[in-house]
Amino acid sequence: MATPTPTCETFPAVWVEHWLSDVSSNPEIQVIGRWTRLHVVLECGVEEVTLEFDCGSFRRVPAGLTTTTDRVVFSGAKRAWASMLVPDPAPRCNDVLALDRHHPEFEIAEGRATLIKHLRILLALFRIAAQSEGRPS
Amino acid sequence: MTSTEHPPHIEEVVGRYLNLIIAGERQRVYFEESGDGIPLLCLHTAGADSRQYRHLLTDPEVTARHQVIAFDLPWHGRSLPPEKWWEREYLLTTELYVETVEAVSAALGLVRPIVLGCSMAGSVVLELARRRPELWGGVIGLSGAAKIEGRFQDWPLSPDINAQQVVPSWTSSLIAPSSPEPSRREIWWIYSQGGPGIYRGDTYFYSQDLDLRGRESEIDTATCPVHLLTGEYDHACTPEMTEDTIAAIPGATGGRMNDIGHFPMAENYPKFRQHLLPALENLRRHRDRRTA
Repeated sequence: MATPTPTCETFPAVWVEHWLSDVSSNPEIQVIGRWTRLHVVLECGVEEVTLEFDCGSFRRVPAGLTTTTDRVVFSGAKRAWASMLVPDPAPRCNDVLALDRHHPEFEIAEGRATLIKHLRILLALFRIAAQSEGRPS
Repeated sequence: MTSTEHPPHIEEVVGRYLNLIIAGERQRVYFEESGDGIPLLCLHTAGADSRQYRHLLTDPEVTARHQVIAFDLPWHGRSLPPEKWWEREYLLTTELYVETVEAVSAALGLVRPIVLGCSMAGSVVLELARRRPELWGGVIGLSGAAKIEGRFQDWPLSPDINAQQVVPSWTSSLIAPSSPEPSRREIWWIYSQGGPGIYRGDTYFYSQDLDLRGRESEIDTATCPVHLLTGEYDHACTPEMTEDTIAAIPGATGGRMNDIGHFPMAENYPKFRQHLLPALENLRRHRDRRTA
């Protein structure tokens, strides 16, 4: 059954769709993601988007899905997300590590060890996200 | 791309090995050099090697006036670890780091070289200048400060972490996104080739052992000028941290570099040299005055 696409102010559905598509067609992801299984959760207040990366394929899954797959939860205010998800981010906003260290409204809410384990693919995913159409603003 | 457009050529850079004793142990240290003139001794970042200076080593405007030397610390690049390395944990201390740089400089017969270091080496140049300013013609520290916190982590040695991929990804966060992609990827590649625990062991010096806060005024910049530069995208050693250190060292100069991150000489050499060349010119003049 297809996952319903909820309306989301911080993570617009059109941006998520572009991101999923851009990741699936990205040649680097196809090389480095072949052995990665991971759930990525984006949070902004009550808004939540859960994504599953499975050996190169990337798709949206229901929020709150119970899983034994590695899971990282990124939580931040809308302005924190918007500062990172741009093609030319300002200093200290260029990725999740920079935000986590320097932005008071952003944190790795869950899965810090998992973040380290999957850091290469996660940074690549967010690099693509920052270029995808329909980004949060 | 054809060989007509890009004919084969051999660079002027020459690599050799220096055998010497450091802290009572035999070491075989790899170094590269190019150019003639005032020696410019280049020190690489934590967990990396002297390849980071390949652009500087082939910059004719620099090599026309300087003998540029870049070496791999023991345990890094082509400098193998010492005997019985497998029976010890690698942790770089301030004492060992300073002794290593002084020993290599002396063994190569360098007379009052200018020392250029980045990241942990951008901080060690402060300690070099503080301890024996008469040895150096001046120091240029990139991405360095009196105290850096938060870089020493144990996860690079965790068995469920692939440090070959995670360490370079971790450090890549410090690169300006506007730096050319081939350069950003090259930094990643060099980091992926570090030995197990070496990045961690280097950050022991950078983020744990060295703390010059409160001792900055002990640096005699009249004898050894200090110039510090940090890129605005560096979130490990922020420009503010470097600026605080500059303010605390009487006579120190420098500041922030826009659109650059933690690895200026490797991530965007054309942009970095705009800051480097004037700094070298100033240090050259100061050194000439003292020599005269």
